[in-house]
Amino acid sequence: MKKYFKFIFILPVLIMASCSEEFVTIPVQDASTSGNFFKSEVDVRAATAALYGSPWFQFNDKFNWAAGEELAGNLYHTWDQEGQFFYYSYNAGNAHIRSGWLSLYRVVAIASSIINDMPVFATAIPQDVQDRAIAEAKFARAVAYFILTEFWGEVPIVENVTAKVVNNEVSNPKNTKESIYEFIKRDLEFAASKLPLTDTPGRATQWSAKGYLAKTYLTMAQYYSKKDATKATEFFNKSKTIAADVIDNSGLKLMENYSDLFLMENNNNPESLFAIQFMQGSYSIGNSLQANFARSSLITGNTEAWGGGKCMTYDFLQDVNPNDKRKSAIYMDLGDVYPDINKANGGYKYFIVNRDPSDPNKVLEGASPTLNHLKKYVVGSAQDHPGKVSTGQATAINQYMLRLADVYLVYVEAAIGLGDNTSDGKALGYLNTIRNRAGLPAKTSVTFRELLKERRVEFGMESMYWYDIKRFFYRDQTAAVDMLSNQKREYVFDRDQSSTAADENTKAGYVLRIAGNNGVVPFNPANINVPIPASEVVLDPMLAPDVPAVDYNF
Amino acid sequence: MRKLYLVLSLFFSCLAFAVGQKSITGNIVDQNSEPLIGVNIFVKGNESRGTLSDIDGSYTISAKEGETLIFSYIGFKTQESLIGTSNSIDVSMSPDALVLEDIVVIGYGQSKKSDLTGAVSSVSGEQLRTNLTTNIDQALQGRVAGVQVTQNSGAPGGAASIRIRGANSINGSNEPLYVVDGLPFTGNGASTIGFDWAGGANGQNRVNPLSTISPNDILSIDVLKDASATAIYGTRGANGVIIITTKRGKKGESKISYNTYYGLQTLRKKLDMMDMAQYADYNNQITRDLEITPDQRYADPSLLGRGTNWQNEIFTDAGSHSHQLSVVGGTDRTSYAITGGYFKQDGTVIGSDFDRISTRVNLDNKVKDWFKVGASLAFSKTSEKITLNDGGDGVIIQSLLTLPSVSVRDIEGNYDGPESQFGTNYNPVAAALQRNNTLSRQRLMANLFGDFTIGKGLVFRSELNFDNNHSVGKAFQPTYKWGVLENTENRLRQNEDNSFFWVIKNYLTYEKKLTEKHSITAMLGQEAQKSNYFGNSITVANLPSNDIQELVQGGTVIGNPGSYKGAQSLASYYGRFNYNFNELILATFTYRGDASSKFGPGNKWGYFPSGSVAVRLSQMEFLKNSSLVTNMKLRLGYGLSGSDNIGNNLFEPLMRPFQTPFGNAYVPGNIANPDLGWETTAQANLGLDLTVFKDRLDVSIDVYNKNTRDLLLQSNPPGYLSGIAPPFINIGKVNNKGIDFSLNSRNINRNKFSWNSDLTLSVNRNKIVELESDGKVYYRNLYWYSEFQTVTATTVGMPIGMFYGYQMEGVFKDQQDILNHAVQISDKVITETRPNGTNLVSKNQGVWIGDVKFKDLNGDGVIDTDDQTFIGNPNPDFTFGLNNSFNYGAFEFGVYLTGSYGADILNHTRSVLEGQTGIFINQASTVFGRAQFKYLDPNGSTTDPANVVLANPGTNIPRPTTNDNNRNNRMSDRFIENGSYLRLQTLRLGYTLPSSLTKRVKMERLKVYANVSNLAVWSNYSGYDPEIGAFNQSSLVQNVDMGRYPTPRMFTLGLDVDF
Repeated sequence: MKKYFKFIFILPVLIMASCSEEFVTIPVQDASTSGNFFKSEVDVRAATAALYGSPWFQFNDKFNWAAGEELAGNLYHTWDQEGQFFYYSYNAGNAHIRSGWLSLYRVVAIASSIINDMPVFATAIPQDVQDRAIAEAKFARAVAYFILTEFWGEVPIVENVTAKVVNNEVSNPKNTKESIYEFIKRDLEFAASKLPLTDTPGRATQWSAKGYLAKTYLTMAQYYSKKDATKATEFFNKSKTIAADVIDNSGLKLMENYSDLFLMENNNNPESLFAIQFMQGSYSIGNSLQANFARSSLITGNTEAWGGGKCMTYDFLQDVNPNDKRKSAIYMDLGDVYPDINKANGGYKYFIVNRDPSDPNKVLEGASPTLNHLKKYVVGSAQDHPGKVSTGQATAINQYMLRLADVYLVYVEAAIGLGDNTSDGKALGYLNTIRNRAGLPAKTSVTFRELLKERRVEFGMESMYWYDIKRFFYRDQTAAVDMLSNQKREYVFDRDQSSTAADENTKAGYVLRIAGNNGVVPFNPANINVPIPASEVVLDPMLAPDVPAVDYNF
Repeated sequence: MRKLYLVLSLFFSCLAFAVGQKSITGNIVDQNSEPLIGVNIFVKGNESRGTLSDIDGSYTISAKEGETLIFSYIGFKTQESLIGTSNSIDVSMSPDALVLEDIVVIGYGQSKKSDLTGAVSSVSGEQLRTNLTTNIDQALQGRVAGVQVTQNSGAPGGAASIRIRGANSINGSNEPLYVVDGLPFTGNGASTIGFDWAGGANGQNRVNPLSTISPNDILSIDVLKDASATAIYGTRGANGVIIITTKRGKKGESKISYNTYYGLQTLRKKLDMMDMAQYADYNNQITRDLEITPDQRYADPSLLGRGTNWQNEIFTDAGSHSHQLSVVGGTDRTSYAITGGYFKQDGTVIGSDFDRISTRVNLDNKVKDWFKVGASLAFSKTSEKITLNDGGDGVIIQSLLTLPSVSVRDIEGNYDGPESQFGTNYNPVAAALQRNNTLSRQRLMANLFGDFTIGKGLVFRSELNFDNNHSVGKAFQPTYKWGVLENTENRLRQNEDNSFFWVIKNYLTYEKKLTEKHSITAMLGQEAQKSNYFGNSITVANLPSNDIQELVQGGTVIGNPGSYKGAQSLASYYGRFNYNFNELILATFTYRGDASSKFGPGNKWGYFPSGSVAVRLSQMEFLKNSSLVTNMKLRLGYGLSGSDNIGNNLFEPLMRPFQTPFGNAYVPGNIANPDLGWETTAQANLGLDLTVFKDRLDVSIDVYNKNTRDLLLQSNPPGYLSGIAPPFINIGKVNNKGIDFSLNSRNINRNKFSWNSDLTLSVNRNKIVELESDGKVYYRNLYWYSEFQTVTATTVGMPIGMFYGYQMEGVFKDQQDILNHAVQISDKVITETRPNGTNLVSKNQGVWIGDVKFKDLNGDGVIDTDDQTFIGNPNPDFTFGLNNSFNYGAFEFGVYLTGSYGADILNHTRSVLEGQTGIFINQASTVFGRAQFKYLDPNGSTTDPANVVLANPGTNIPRPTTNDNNRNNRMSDRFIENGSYLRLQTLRLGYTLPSSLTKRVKMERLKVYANVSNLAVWSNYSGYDPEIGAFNQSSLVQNVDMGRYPTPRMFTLGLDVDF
């Protein structure tokens, strides 16, 4: 017996052996799986909440304004890759084109997971809840594709991202613009039919979808204006009808005071139809535009202030009426005072040059090339707004994507339609409401070009003007190219060497210099779209410029 | 009491005398006159009357005249000596070629070196210590053929990358498995927090997993290289196995040893940057070129001094010191080794340091004749402080870019800062000293075992190991005002990570000599292991003061406190069978089955067999009595090993949260692949071991061919399909083939003088054999740096991680040169003959004189992504190590060289230092040689291309341009450099004081030495150091210099004392 006694030590081996399969099955402990996530409506709402926040961040961080405002000739900024948009000298290697693209397609992917994958896992969730979630996802997807096609032109439509990846269908053709507009229209129509009339402020409603639908029809109408007048007219009319529906029936209304639109406490105000939802905290969940636009640390309270050299172009300034109430909300000009910024020191007063009072040799803030600095989306420091601003380039100001004012002006443009101007009473009523808020006199008739100018200022630094120029380009390429090529972009101010030191804070102390190529940057119509990023073409050669786009198979 | 003792001893000595016993003493040395410790001495015919030689090689034994003493020691020829009238017998032992390297530790057992059939290399602790090191991996550099060690950072405690016979995995880790006294862990480094959470690029944040182990504790390291050796580790063996054995106690009088050294580290090389006068001159030139208002302060460079030399400010001479105390001893039944050590190293970049406290207790006890127990317990605590040292936001690159006109401190003694926010974004000195980034780790490693001898030759061993890790990482961003830079919100981030790993092993070994000529050994075992981990991270802002860097009240919590929790497990069965025919033919077969929790149902099990055969030709008749060849063994083996080196639960789709104003939003974290399974490596090895010229020369050559299949890869579809993390898949094949060569030569061995040389040479060729499709390419980028999005490409037919980019043909000379060249920026004027248009010649919007001319590789008249190609190979042709050691009496002298040949380096720092895209950052002096303009009509237009020509044709540095339309700084061979180098790794001089002297102060031995490491490097590389390594250990981003922490030169004085 004693001899075999020692064998009992081998027993654990036999015991362990029997349970090994169980031993090596370990469920995930710190996350849900898609399979067990969707238990109730709350979970579905948590999934759709993703459509409003950080997936848009990379798009908004640089591309939205660098492309949106510089291509359009509103923003003077010539530096590095951001400045390439100012000169139309970007190419497929541009970093911001790439991150804008990836960000928009991330929105597409998240929408796709809600549209296609969620129903598979959410079998216990009522159909109407699912439908509403799908409608929110289709709305976000439509917005992403609208931006994609207006900037890149022809891009691939991907309905089910997971299926494409799993089936290794990783080379896809670009789709035609006609297909993309149709795709956007279908998504928005679905969204308009399933979204509620009201929801938690900030969430997409039926009115958000209809607002975008009006804008999409307007864009389509201009796109078809030279190709198919019947279709164009039909789309103008649809745009008008839907815009009127939103204006008259939504219960939404314009903010009384234009500058109040850009206060953080007015996030999701009744004028907002869709805005990217931002919060303070850390990088990628907050709005980074203050970091990009603010002139100096005196405004932001930290080093995230890279707007010292950014200003509105001389060309933009020419379109702003000196009495326009919108002016100081768009950019900072000599004498402007902002009580909300630098509150501890009684507010921020704008000087062309700001010297250290204790050491006049030390320039705290220098002059910009056009003697102004950016204001919109600049809100102040963490001290000014506790709980709403933090480092990590994060302010809690939402980024407007669609305002009711836009729908007003969409109606006006649709009313002009294929003609050159309109005196339509309803249209002028909408236009004059906007002008009245800006403190400008009413008009009795408006031309397309005048409307364009109105939009340029109304949405200044909201990255909307390039879309307007695109519609102009669709309806009259020659005129649009001519307008861009003659913008006074490189008109800059130099210190007048003959002047005295005392007048550095007067505009008289500076002289206008026409720099570069006679101050203009000629526009080549071939640049109307930005290129698909080189890194994408490398992975999917079907996206190369010389491979033709195909119609989408609906 | 003392009296009694005296009486007693007198009594016993009388007794001894009575039977004719006398006390024999003597010293035992080896062929190099080094004392041999632990030599077994006994009286012939009566083995119970024996003793061991002590640490000095001396012994005392009682014996009678006429008896014979036998001296035996493993690895040496046994000697006999007849006792005559003398009471002193000194012995010089000579090595036995047959059992030269004695016992080698292999998986789940040991083997005589002569019985090995696989490719296993060993390094003794003594060898390791001749190359003074802070971490074990550094000690292995150049020591073992087939093992490539590169320091990824010169930071104290920085991680190294170890590749055993090349890289198998593309996505996964290629670090080997370490087994310390039976406890397995992988070489993947832990991470510090870094600084991306506070804005900017992180830089390298891996720290060294081996830095928790004191090199002084190590007895030997055995490296298992081929599959027949590693297959017994199954799933964990694919990247090779490094077995580390620590010192254990021995029977005999207790020995106390104290080892210490003090070292001084200095920066070996500085880069040549502009000083203030030079920068002023440069600034004047470029403001003129760019037509920007010149800066009045720079009007007369000759009036300016040198300004701040930021390299001098950021680098410093740094000390280090080490203390280690050990007590080793034992009785018949119990032996022990107790060690304790302290090591501290300051970094050569200010603000960085590392320290380690380590203790270890190894205990062995023979409980019964059939039952032995043993235990090892090791605790260590390391603390390290990492300045953000790599990447574009690291303090090293920032110190190079900060203008010399900026001072470190202003007149009031506060930190100064840049004058403009367009330049560097901090004061590097202030950042290095004030932005804290620390990691503190505590680790308890334990091994407990019991050996049960069940019958003759049948032993059952049961082992329990655990590894408990706790680490706290902290990173702090202070409030500050550095010049125009101001930060009014401070932040602290704290991560805590905990893990507990355990493994239980049970295995049965049976040894049997079947007949005179046939013997077998069989082993059969089972094990289960599991790792549980959890952790959390929290960020707080607006702490009351910069001095309190703790999660105290007063700060506000930012975002969600993060946390994670998980576990992974592995269940295994394995066996090994050895057959030995007359010491002539040896065969080994192993088999292992592993089930891993990382794979889904149906895919958990992987099976890994191997077999190998060795023939000892020197045992055959025709060689048996050869005086030339004393050992000759041919080895052949083949086997499989596996890898499950991916994250947990990737076979199912997970939901991940992020914050929104609507509360937490959930998005899919990954696309799942339920079919995910094992990555498998098959390896064939052919080896030859040879000892010739009367044991004076040992040569070992191994040739191997490794094929890894079903690679665990994260698929990379285009970005428009990557909005949700793409799935991991099993796809592709990688081949590594190569030669390991090592040579050990005893060149001179005279009485007092000896000279030995060791050479190792590792040649590896890596090739991707198969991916999803032949055209499939895996790219890697450097952060978001746009021109570096496809820095490396990995594709079929090429080695892993090849540098990928454009080729530079020079810079444009004049307008015609630009117009004649393929289109880089099109004027978009399309004609029949020019379908791509022509180059737009324009200073601000197009291509200009002095811009880089890229090569039109496909000849289609346009420079686009199709013109990128493979422009460099970061994998070396071969690496080597050459050690020469000389002994003369009590003196020893060593020269140790290591090197690498044929690898290319991407010097990314140069794209910034010579990038010329900003007018507020400093540049390298080489920029003076950049493209300069000459105006044909000096009064003519500077923007008329017809008036501008290149003044200095032949330059390779383009013109300055602030928005770089031509993308001069894109990834191109402009930044690829030759990374071959030869390093004088160690120069060492040691002296052992005569024992006659030391014994007076009760010292057994006292040795002093001086050591210089990294004294010189011969290389053409223009950066700090040509040894770059893998960025955060990734084999896809190797040899990319992003401001790597330079490896310092170190002068050391040390002392070893034995009592």
